[in-house]
Amino acid sequence: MRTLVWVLLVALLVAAVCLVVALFGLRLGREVADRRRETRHGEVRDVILTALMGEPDEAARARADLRTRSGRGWDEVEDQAFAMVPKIKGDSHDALVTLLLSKGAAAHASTLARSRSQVRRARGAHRLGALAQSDAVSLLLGLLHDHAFLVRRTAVRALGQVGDPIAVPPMLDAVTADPRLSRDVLAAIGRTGSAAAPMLRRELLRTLSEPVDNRRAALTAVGLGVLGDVSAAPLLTVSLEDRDQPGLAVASAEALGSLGAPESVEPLLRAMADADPDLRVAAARALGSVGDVRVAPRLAGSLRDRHHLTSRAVAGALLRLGDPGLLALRASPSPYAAEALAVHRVRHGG
Amino acid sequence: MARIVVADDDADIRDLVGFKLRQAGHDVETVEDGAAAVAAAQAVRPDLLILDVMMPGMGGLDATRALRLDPELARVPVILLTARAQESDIEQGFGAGADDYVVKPFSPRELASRVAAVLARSRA
Repeated sequence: MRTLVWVLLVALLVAAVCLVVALFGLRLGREVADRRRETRHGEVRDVILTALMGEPDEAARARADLRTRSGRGWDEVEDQAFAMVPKIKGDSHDALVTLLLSKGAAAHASTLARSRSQVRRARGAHRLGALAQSDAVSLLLGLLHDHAFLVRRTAVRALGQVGDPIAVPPMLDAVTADPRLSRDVLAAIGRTGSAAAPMLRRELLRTLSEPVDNRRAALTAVGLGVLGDVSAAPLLTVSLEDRDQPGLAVASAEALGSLGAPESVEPLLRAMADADPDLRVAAARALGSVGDVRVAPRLAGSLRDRHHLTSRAVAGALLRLGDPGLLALRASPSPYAAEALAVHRVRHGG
Repeated sequence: MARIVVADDDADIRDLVGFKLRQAGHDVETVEDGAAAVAAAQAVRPDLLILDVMMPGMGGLDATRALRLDPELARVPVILLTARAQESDIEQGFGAGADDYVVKPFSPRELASRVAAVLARSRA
């Protein structure tokens, strides 16, 4: 019996020692693997940086070295290169994109974008955006209908990087389906630049004749402001007075403020008398942005607006109008005028 | 050659900026946040700092203000590296005491030119 107990004890001890050794071995193995990965990462990083920014001879050698890599060696290069592409511009950016394209990164990204895994689809969309090739647009447009929000959002961002105006209406459709994409779509429109303006003007015209989703309509108007499309000012003046679509008038006021169009002053002053307080706030801010100092006395009347946010917006707008605005604020008994003047004193002293 | 401290929480940016500046012959120290940048500046007395605006903990604007309060470092030029290109953001940067700013995504070559210009100005 005693022998059996001893045998069991020794067996347990041996098992415990084996377990400790195995755990130690695993940990050691993981550390070695991590260190190897870090070394490989650092080595690849150095070669990429040399390829991008090295002296001409060494850069050419580094690029040739990168082109010879394949399999997991190239995957490491691709991962690091795609992480860098969106962060730089100029010669280095172009050199990196050329290198990636020469190794078939666009095809690889397209394959990822069609993967069953949503993380891979998002990664594929991100890469297609980084490469900014126009032939990726149709694939990215398809991803706007993806069931995963992450993929839809990455696709919107990627379409902004590609900058093809044909993507503007589908992106607005995507906002109709999912309002969470509004900010990204607006940023993508901004990145697309003036090429997107004709599409947005057409959209706004359509919106005026046949009411569409409220958020979509508002985004169309704000988008024209973001693009600084001064030729859209007359159209935005019309949409400012559209009372059938709540939100469109407010967005139009914001856009007119961004444009700073002088012809929008009178319509914006009319909007100050509207029943919708959100519109009055937006109109006041826009008048401050347009900066026509002649409106100061008329705007000052709205310091007594029954809606406190409007009064505050008016006071802020008057501050932006310089001396005529300051005069109007000093003459007003409104607490919002006093508040604005206090802010002015903090900013400018005196 | 100048001593330059670069602070950015993004390792890619640190490597890109560090490589370009070392290539231009500068002695570069890279750190991950504003507090580390201030500490590094106090330790190495750099000729220039390049600070990212948005960093966890102390950002570039706060780090610039902290440097301007230190009599030994108040005159060290600062270039802000920022993804925020709005006029008000840039105004805020200059208000904090920065000497120049570079907007992300950035051109490494342009950054090197700005560094050369700021260093030349500070040495004049």
